Amino acid sequence: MNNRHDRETRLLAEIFHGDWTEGQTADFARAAAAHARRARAMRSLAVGGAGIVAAAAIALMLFSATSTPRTSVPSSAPAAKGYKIISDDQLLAELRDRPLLVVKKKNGAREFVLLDGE
Amino acid sequence: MTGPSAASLASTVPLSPSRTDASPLRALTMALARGDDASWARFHRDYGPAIFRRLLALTRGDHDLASEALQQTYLRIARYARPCDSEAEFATWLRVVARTALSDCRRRRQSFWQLLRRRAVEPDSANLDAEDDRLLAALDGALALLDADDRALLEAKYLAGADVRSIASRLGISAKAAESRLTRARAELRHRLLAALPRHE
Repeated sequence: MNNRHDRETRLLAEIFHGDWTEGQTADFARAAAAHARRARAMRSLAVGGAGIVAAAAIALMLFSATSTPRTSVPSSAPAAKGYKIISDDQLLAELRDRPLLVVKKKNGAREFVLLDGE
Repeated sequence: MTGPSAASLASTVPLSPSRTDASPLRALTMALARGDDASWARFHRDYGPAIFRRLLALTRGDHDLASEALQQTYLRIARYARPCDSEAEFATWLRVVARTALSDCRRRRQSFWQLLRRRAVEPDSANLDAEDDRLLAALDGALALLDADDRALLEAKYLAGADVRSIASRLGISAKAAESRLTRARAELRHRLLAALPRHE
């Protein structure tokens, strides 16, 4: 029964399209194959493009993370000062029995340099 | 791929995946997705006639529209084909793709009002089998009306499965002459079939 069904189906197809396997409708199959290949190539291209964009984005993020100086410090930690204010007595105590070089700069300012490597 | 199971496309198929034939179908569907020419030729040979028959039933014999929808169906299969192991699932998917392709072809061809008019008379999935039976009955009727020689020729080729060469040698004519007679017989059958089918427009 199914066999007859299949043969009648084939007859119906060839009534309207002539030779089904090699005739005009075979072009449909060839066009579909070409379409599938194009779609596949486009998908690969899209996936490759997306991969490249993602890699570039990650690289950019990593680069910016490593090259940007850290300007922010935890707000709870007070900024460390580069100097300390001491009294005259404390200063004299620090300099007692130690060689000291006094350099006079062009602008008139004087710079004190400890020569004992401290 | 074994038999085309052409009838399975037109009849109701149980949705129980049969894994017995899994591997060849998977190979075929993967090759279709890849756009392999040989696999597409095989798909066209094995599945195409059944899809066309279904479209012919859906369009009530509008073979131009059915052919256009067949082409669109192939393109959609090319775009969306994925590896599949189950003949039943594949057949169901093909039916859905063919039907949506046909709907889109109709939409392109017709105005909104024509579309509404057609929707009112188009066979739904419930009576599509009846429509398909009517198509095959019309084919049998058209065959019966043919000249006896033409009918014998077509029955030998399509129902008995004889090839053109053996038909030619039985008739004592060349294969080319047998092919010409077959072409004429098919044209006559087509003419009678279209006359027997209800007008599709």
